[in-house]
Amino acid sequence: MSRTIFRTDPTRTVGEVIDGEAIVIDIETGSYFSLQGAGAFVWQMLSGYGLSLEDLVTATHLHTATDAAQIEAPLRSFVESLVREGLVVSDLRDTAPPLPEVEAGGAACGFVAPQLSRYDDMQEFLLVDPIHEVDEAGWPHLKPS
Amino acid sequence: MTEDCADAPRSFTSVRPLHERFANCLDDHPPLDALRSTLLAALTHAPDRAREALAEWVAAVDFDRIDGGSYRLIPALFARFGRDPLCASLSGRMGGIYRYHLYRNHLLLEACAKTLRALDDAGIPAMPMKGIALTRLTGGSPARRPMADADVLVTPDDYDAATAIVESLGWRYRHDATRRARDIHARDHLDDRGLGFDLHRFSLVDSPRAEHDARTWARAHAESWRGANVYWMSSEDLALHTVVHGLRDSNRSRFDWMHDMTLIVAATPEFDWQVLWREATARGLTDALFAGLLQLRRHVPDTLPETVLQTLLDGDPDFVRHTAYRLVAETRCDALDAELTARVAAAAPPAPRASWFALLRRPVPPLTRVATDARFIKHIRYRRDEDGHIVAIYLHPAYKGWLGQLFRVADRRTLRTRLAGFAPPEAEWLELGRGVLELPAPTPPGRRKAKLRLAEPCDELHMRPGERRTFGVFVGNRSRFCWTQHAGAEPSFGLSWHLFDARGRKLRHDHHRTPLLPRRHGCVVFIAPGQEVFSSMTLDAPMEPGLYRVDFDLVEEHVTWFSQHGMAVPQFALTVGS
Repeated sequence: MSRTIFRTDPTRTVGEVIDGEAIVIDIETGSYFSLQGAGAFVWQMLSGYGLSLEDLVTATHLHTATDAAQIEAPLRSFVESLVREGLVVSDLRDTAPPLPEVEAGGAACGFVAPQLSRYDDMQEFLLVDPIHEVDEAGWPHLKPS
Repeated sequence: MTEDCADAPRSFTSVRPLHERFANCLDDHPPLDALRSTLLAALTHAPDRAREALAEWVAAVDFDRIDGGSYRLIPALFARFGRDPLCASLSGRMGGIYRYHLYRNHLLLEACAKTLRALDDAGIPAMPMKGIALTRLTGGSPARRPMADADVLVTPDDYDAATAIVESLGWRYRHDATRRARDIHARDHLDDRGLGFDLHRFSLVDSPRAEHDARTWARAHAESWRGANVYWMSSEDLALHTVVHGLRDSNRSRFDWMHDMTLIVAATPEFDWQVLWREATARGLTDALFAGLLQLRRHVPDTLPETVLQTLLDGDPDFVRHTAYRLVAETRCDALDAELTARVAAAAPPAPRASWFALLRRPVPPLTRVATDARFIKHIRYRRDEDGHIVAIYLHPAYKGWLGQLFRVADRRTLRTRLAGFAPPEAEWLELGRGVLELPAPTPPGRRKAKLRLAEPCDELHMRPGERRTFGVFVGNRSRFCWTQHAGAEPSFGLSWHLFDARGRKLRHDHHRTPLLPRRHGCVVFIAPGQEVFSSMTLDAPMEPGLYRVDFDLVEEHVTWFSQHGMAVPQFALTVGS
């Protein structure tokens, strides 16, 4: 039976996980995305061969030691938003990719619902002084004017 | 050359490290302060020592007032220590800087890759340099190494075709169009997002000749990158660029190049220091490379072992001989071994060497004492106390009579007493105590008598519109007063030119200056009465083709032109055309 596999698209995006946050750049549009909560873990899982939604739920369940029933809906919604933004592509495959090795119980705080933030006006953000015009969270979080 | 001089560099029995013995070679580069030195240590030392340095740096740094060089190291510091509790107070903004350069560099790399693919499609070989080459060599995230722009080298034969391709892809020439003709070395471009792309005809502005870059191309290897076939320069060539660029910018507090050097050497197990040295020698850049290597020894000693530097010097005794001679002749040899100084001082000048000696063709009387060799600009180094008062000077006895012109004498009686017994054979430190000499010195009147002549006589010259050309000139001080330059002051004397039309009507009086005297940290630099020194100066041809006359001139900044005081000016006819 064919399964839908979700994976990142390295021809269109580059990403890096920093301190529990995945920074993803759409190099076609220049848009900048921040994936937080379980979003960084999801990004790592979908990089490379990709995963089906079912396997993603399993991996997240192992990683966060959280009941699979609780995490399926937020993960489904999150993956759909990644596809909508063009950060992740899907294809039908007869054989599912192997489940990557997952550090069991690695997330000390359990499951935190994934969040996707998108920054579009990067022309403006590139002009921001990343030392003086940002708040304590650092660029691209600007000081309140 | 005498036997004495030939033997001089062999006196390497001193246990003092080379960066101390040749510290005077770093006079043109401001010393690295403790804060920046600590930051460098946090990035380059082994983990335990690095973490100690990090703790010191975090405790002392004012993040809102961070300098440019330190800023460029923040992403690498974040990559190494971002999660360390020591960084907790700064981690937000450090992480932000990392994210900023992650984003910016990825866009830049992609835009550069697209351009390289277009050059590849057109059959034009291209070689990414600087940040891109370093990022590829060392691997890891491109965020770690901020890049102002993408630098790509093509051959001079392909330069115009490559420029057309680059500009067809949306890169706009960065400067006023009238400057294009003067871009001998590289052309800077920007895209709509403010990203930069510099297309290089030559790899280094300091040695802009195709035969030099031919060796760089020969050592490079071809490898596909992001869909483009490109050439990657050898680690040794990348290192030479890193040092030469880094030192050129060192007056702007740049020291991050030392971190780049550490990464290059670490990523290249077979790094060949001899290749680096030979290439610098071929390009006439050994002085700059040596200064850079001394800095590395001082601040990142694990990157360059003492034995490696010693071996390089042992293999080039001619360089040591010339360096020692120059330091003694310029009276800035206070750090040099006394034995070496004495032997150089007693010897005849060494034979000409490329780079800076080649144009000094006047014979020197064999008995000329080196420290009074009139071809060299002179120095008097001073030491200050913690309140900034001069307390000692490094003085050659021949210069005693000029102290009143070089400093403000605040206590004449004490100065006279100190000088009375001062008669060493060569320069030595003279302890004065506080309040004897001060800076700045008063400017004496009547020091505007000079002789200016071209090293290579010229009556007529052809140049392309906007072309920049360098000339050698001899400048003689014919006045009774010293011409001086203090470290903290604006350039005091400069070389420039006036432009006339073919009928002798003045078109433009003022042009850019070539400073005559260097500004050296902790030194009063001077040309004594009667001295004639060699200098180089640059001339920019007008953009409009035609016939002109050019007069070279010497200026005392904000005071006067020497030609107005009777100095004969070298002049020649200039034809500007394609």
